[in-house]
Amino acid sequence: MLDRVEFLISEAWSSLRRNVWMTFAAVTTVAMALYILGSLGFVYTFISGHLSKLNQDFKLSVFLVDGLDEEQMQASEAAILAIPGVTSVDFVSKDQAFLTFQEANPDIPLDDFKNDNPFPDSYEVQLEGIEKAAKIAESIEEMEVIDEVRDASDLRRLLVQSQSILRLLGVVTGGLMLLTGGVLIYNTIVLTIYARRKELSIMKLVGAARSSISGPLIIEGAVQGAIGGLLAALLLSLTLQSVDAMARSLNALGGIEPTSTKTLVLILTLCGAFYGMICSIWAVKRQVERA
Amino acid sequence: MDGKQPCIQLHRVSVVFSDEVAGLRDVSLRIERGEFIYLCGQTGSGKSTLLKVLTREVAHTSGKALIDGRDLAEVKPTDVHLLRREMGIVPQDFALLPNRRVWENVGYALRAIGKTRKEVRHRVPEILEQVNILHRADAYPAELSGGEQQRVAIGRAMISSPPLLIADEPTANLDLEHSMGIMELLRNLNAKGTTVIVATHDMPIVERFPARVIKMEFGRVYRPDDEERGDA
Ligand SMILES: Nc1ncnc2c1ncn2[C@@H]1O[C@H](COP(=O)(O)OP(=O)(O)OP(=O)(O)O)[C@@H](O)[C@H]1O
Ligand SMILES: [Mg+2]
Repeated sequence: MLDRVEFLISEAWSSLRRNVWMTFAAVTTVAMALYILGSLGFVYTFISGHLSKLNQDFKLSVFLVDGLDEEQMQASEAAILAIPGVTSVDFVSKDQAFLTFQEANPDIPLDDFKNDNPFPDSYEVQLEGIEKAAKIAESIEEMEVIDEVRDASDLRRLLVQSQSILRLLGVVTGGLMLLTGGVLIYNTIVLTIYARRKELSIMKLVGAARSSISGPLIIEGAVQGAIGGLLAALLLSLTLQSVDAMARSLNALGGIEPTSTKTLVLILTLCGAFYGMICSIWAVKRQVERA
Repeated sequence: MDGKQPCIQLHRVSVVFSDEVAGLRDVSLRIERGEFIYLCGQTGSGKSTLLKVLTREVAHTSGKALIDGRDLAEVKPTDVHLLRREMGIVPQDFALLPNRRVWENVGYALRAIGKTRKEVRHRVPEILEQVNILHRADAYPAELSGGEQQRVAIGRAMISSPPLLIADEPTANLDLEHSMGIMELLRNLNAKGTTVIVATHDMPIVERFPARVIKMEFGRVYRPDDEERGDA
């Protein structure tokens, strides 16, 4: 058994070495394709995460005009609370808003603004569900004491839009490149079949099992795909970590929680190997078994 | 049918390559176990095609072909390799691997049919001894004479100790002396019980080592009188 595996692998290895440049082309293309798909995929899931967070958190920020008295405040709060679909209203004073911002961004110098606080008073309005958000926002905005209502629907729309752009981008760039990588793997296998046509015909002549004949070819394709996947995983992991570090140092977004290198390596290497295997099986079916 | 199964039995076997080109037409013949057979005929008479039907390199288009009573048409593509292990094939070109030594050529074939390294170490000298080429085990094919290369090819065909050996023009490019050496080798294998079929148009050799001749002409088996009936 082990002896058999060794035979198959040493056959595959000698081909990989013979086609070193073709293998290089196939491997790098697959790596690039998987890198592109991997990063787009990461951004996509990142956005999905945000979207679902947004969709769970039905909140409106309602900003008040300046200089309201206590009575107007209470009246407006009651009015908002009376709108069907609103579950709670929390008052956030302009001083509180300033403090919160200052705490969240300790690096930004705000001393100039101490005496001229640019933040307005506001309400955090909690809703029952996302469906009525736009309508409720509209009716709150009609009130005289209200300056502006912000909900996340613009952000949400933006995120959904960017997701569909990502999908398109993924299919066009990553997909096409993956296809090219597949054709390159196919071609290396065809080259191998050509270079080894004597060996292959001798194998057939002496009655070698199909697995002995096509096994090394399929392994060769799988190895190419796997190396491509591995490279893509390492590159992607590096990218995510540096983006994460950058985001953290800017402090605006917080980190992006990069997928662990181990997971990336596992997923992309397996995907690559599987893909390479499919391409080489395709080549074997067309070039060896037909003959 | 008599008690003993014939080794090979063809009944009106034809191979039609296209509308105009037929490799074999209505070939019927019967070859017993342990026989030594010459398949003679001019270039293009269908010798190789007939052998390829037996090895399932070519599928016959009509008729019935049996080896050891097994219908070749019923051998599944996935089982062709098992059929091939029951026969040794020496192709018209020797088909040796030029970048491998003599012993590696035989070893590679053994590895290909699933033998372990250990078995290879054990079997290769035996096989090379059998075809009398052990002394050149470390040579590359290009360093060998045509006759020596042919020995290696025959040795490689014998790796599974098959009961049937099929050699397509084994003496084609050899001088008489080497040809005789090869023929002696084939006769020896035959004497040990292997059924041997040799396609050739080397008449001096046939005269020196007389055996039953099946003569082919234009894809048919030539029968001067009708003594040789193929259908049993
Ligand atoms: N794959 C093929 N496709 C089409 N025609 C073929 C094919 N193989 C053989 N033929 C034809 O079948 C006929 C018999 O060929 P075959 O090779 O059997 O002759 P042969 O007796 O072995 O000749 P030689 O002594 O030159 O080896 C020839 O006319 C040949 O052109
Ligand atoms: Mg021929």
